[in-house]
Amino acid sequence: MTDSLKKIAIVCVLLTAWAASGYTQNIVIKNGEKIVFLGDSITAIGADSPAGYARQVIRGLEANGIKASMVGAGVGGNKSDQMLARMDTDVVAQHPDWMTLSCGVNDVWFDLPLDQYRQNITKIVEKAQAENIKVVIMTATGIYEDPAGSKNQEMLPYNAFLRQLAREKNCLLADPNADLQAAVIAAGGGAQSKLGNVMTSDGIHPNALGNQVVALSLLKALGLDAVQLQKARNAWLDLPHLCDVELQGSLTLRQYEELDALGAKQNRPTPEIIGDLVSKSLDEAASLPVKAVGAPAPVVIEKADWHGYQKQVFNIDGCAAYVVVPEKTLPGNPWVWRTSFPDFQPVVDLELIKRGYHIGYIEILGLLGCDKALDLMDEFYAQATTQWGLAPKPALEPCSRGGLPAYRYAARHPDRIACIYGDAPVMDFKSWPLGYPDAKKSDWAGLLKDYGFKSDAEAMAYPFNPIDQLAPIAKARIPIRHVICLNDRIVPPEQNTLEAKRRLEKMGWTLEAVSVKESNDCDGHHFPYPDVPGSVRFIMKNTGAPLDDQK
Amino acid sequence: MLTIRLALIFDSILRTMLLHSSRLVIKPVGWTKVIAALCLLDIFAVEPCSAQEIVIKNGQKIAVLGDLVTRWDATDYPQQVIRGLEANGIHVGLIHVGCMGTTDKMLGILDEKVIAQKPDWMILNCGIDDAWGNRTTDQYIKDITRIVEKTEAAGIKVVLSIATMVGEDPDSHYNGIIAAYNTALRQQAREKKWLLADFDMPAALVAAGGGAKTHRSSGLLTNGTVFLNPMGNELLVLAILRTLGLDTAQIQKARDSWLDRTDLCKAKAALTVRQNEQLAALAAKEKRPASEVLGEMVAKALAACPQQ
Repeated sequence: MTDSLKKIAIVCVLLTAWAASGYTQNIVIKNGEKIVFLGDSITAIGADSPAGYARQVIRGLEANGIKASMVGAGVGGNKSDQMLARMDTDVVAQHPDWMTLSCGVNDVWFDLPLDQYRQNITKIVEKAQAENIKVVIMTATGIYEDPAGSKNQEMLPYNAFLRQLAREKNCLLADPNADLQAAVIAAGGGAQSKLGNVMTSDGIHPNALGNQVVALSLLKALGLDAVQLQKARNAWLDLPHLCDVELQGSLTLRQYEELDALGAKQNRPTPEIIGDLVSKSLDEAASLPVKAVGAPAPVVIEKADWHGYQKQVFNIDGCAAYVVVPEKTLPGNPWVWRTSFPDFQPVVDLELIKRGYHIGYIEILGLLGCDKALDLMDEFYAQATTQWGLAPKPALEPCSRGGLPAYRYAARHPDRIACIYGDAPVMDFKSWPLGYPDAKKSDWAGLLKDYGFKSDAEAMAYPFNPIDQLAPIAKARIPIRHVICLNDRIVPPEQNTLEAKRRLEKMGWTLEAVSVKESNDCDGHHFPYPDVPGSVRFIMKNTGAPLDDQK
Repeated sequence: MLTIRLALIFDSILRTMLLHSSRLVIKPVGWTKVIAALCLLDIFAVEPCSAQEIVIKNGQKIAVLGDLVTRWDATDYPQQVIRGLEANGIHVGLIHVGCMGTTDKMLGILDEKVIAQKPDWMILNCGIDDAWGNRTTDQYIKDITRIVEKTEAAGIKVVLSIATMVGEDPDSHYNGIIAAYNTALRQQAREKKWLLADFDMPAALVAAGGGAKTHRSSGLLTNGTVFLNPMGNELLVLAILRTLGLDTAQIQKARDSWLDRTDLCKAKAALTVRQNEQLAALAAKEKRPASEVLGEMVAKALAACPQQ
């Protein structure tokens, strides 16, 4: 932890991410244009509250020399049918040049069927376009700060549809859903976090920080580059008393009444009085070496080639790591996280990068999935999701011994994994290296050392092999597909994939094993991958990308 | 008329404020005084909308049906009602019905979520979501009437509450709708002899120096949106307790029981974005909610302040 990390701001890291991803285009909104912000209570607050996203967008544009006006058209509780009914009065009659559309949270909350949502949203967009109003479609922000939560899972097809519609109708797309999820992780939040809600006030309505993320998503969609986004942020960063931040567990009602009386005396709102009280403490705290959990400083990258794509190489605590960048990214920045042998038969990865996926990798293979490996993976994950802005839930891709870190990581963070696609992954170190007669002795010795085992017996009794830790994966219902060879003697399916399948099924979950009967290569451990298109589809489907036949 | 009496009371408080201002003796007129005035002057005891003695009995159960204003953490008004009753020796159970949106939705779940739970009492607070949905006063009153009739037919007694405000500008579109709801609700309560927990929120805001065109334009009774802040909660709670028949001394006892508790007060601090980010970073470092970290800072700052 260094002094240079003193004032790391979560969204700053996101900005850096956008800069690093080389995002450049022109600002599409012009001086004097008018924006209607159509939406539900999230937009009502976004337009009404001083730190609301709509107001921040206007400030951010102004900081870049563009004076735009805004009309707030957010109504609490609105679903898409109600917004459609308000189009004439609340949008068309305002004669705007632009309309942003934030809709979906109530549709999912109140179980409006996806088909009806599709129809309503399509009509809203078509109606605006018929009136020559340019449309920015925003993904629905989310319900509770747990991407794996049931309502957020229900929301996936709604947001997938919005992304698809934006392409079909040539609308700009802002993705606050993905950006908020990344920001939650960067701020140390999430389902398992002790921090509570970090980007929302109640799990649903973005708080001041969340509103800032939403505003930056929109500004990015409107074409601001990293420098312009920074300029926007600087414009609002030190505006006094902009954010109302909740506090609890310390003030008595009597003290509150006294502060309120002081407010009355000074003719100022009570939250300002309380804000001034802590202002000094916060400024003093700013001089402490503080690092936001999961919000690392940007790393320096070197560029290299990976099968014709740019590989951005960096270093995490002495381990080589990289992110391979596609020519054109898919919305939401989906990615595949390879945990081993990244250049071995990369046929699936090549298909995915062609379609807009990033590929991530950190060289921790020698550690065979011990806790230190998982900690390094945590650091890599934080870097990838902040500096590159990659999706909060990658597809994990273990090959062979890469199964050890992959599955142990998925058990540590089931909320971070979209799906697992494995090539004969090791699920139990008793099977490999211990159970394979031709394994190098140094592999087992290294494992004992890295895991901190004092004896073989201690290792044998270890209860946290991947095969023993399937419960959190089953509970999170992470889709799994393995390709295996039935005569694999190095990683025998019976002790690994098929045993995992049996155990998962006892937990009410399963995995899909796609097998080839036999191979003569490398004791049956190397084999031509069966059904590559099926594996590509599996990953695309489970990371929320549109399938080829849906385009 | 209750509203006239309220207006007179607030007028007198306002006069006090102005008098002090004209003498350049700026004396705070905060909620302590406003609430004390409300208690002292016994303003909630108006026939037929309040009971004349405590009508709720030890061991009874209250269901609270509401819209999004009726949240369910320890700082919110249903819990405070329970504490106020406890302070007067009445221990009751609370049934969490949940936030149900508009009145038609409440009607839809009434059987399952309220009547089937067999409470002795139901407190009903709604209107915000109806106003947001631009539902007419007729629709609102019709639904409320149906809810009350159905609930009473099941042997459950009902306490209604006036609808609170959307933000603190009485002239806003939605507050106009809510004002119309409340006028109709008061009339219906008088005619039907319903128990109605009533207070004039716009007048209370003016009494505290608020209103859309003042520097204290938000955060006096709400957190700036629809959620009630500690003062808004307290006014609503006092109105409900009064309606249930607590007299002035009992109300004071209720207040005394919660005034020095730290678990009932969810306040807000207005910070810059930079300060807010710094707070988030500190919270992440300490692995605690930011609200808790901020709460401690405020407590320390207050402890270091000389007594006002």
